[in-house]
Amino acid sequence: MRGLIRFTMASGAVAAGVGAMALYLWPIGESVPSEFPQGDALKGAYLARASGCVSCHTNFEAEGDALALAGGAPLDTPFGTFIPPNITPHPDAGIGRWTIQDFAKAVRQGVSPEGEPYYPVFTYSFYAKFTDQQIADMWEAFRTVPAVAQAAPEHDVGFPFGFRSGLKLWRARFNTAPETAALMGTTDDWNRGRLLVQGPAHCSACHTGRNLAGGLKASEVFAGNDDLPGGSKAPSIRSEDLVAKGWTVSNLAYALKVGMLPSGDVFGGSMAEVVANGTSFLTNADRTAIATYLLDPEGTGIPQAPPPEITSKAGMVDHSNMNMASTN
Amino acid sequence: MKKRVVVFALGLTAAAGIAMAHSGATGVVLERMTGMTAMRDIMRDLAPMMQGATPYDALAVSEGGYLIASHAGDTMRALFPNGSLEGVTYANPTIWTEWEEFSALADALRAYAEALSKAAPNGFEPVPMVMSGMKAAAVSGTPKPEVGQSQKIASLLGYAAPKGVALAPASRSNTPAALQATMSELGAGEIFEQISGSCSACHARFRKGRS
Repeated sequence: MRGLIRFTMASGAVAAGVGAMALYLWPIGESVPSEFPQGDALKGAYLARASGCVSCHTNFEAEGDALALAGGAPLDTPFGTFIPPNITPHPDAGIGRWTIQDFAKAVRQGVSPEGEPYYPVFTYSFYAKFTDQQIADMWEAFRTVPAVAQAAPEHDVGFPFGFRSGLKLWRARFNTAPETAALMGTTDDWNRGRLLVQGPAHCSACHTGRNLAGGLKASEVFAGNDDLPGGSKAPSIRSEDLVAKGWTVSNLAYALKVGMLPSGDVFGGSMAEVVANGTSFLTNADRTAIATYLLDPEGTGIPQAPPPEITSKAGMVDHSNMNMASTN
Repeated sequence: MKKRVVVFALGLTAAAGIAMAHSGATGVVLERMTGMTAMRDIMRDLAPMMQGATPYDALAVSEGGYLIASHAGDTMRALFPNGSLEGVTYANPTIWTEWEEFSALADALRAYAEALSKAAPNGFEPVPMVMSGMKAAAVSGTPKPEVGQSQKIASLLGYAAPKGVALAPASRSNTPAALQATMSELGAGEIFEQISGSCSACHARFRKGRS
């Protein structure tokens, strides 16, 4: 009997070892073009800002002036604490030794120059459809950033998530590229909004619920997430919920610029940062496009009617919606 | 005008107080909630003008700025005595450990709001005027000097000097007085954005229980 137990345990360990080895050896990532077009740094900088590169990889919470792209504020998640790395062109502390091919593979595929998978806390899935031109633009932009010699600290991730090769399973199950191709019968504005929302702006990363493995739940797209890193909450941004809360294309686009809600209240928490370090840098046209898409995600072209209590203007001292516990 | 504004403010405060009595807050906590609610409602009412959705009303903008200023600065500080967290409150205790920052935001709000009140007659965007040198550059609406491509790239990537006064009300060079002098030459739209920005910056750091 004892022999049997010993055999079972040993074979279990062997199986786990073989499994881990197989995962380790499983090659990931696709080939990358050997040639890229000439990049436009201004377009790349705009895309980098729109994609959240700047807000995530810059530590605005640090004492003194924030060093652009030199590593971000730690993100506390159920899987461990992640520190967005230094992506300035410093040869040792940053990505100064990378080639544009390395960069393309990292951004679009989530694979490091060493062939290792990145943790999905880096929202590469949303960037999968970036064109070669867009990659070249961003690369050109990143090379203008002052190099910072200080490397960001390592992630603090415990077992089993510290075993990076395990992420290959995650990739196989959850890494899906966004749907961004233009749809027939919809306006340019709507398509631009869809592309921004589904791609670079990666709204889903916070506003869609995640399963135990940290994958986005397909059934809960934009339905909100109460369990964001750092204990923050993201409300539903489904069109019917937005309309019910008094959002219109005009005031939603304005909110993405200045951080104000239709009630006159303002965003706090993570969305305040998203606006201050992200959407406030976009063009008015892009903010309007985002609002246009979010309020009509089916592309019907017909605005939803606001509920009656929104249309009749609330009195000056109506505090019925002063629910301090609600999320915004 | 001032008198009318004050009467209006008192009325608003009293009415709001009655409405808020049910929320569970009491004393100074209730008082500051009432103030916050009053500011929120002013912002709500002015916002459609700032989005161009309703016609610009200089008097309403000026009164709104005056009222918000009356809730900011010293008034705001007085409503947050050390450790006042009784009952239902959304104040984050870091207010008192980071009092200087909180206080700077309260002052910035006052400066922006007073600037809005003064600049209201300038319109949403000031009418271009013949001005000389540096002064003209500070006024949106007059053609701004062409920002160089490298400057735009630096700003987008975050390594340029902070843009304007946005969200950096506590920064060294901008004393509230200097800020206000510069800002009262701007269009109301731009100042309104600064007010919203300072509310948001403060709430992000010092308000609990909201996303």
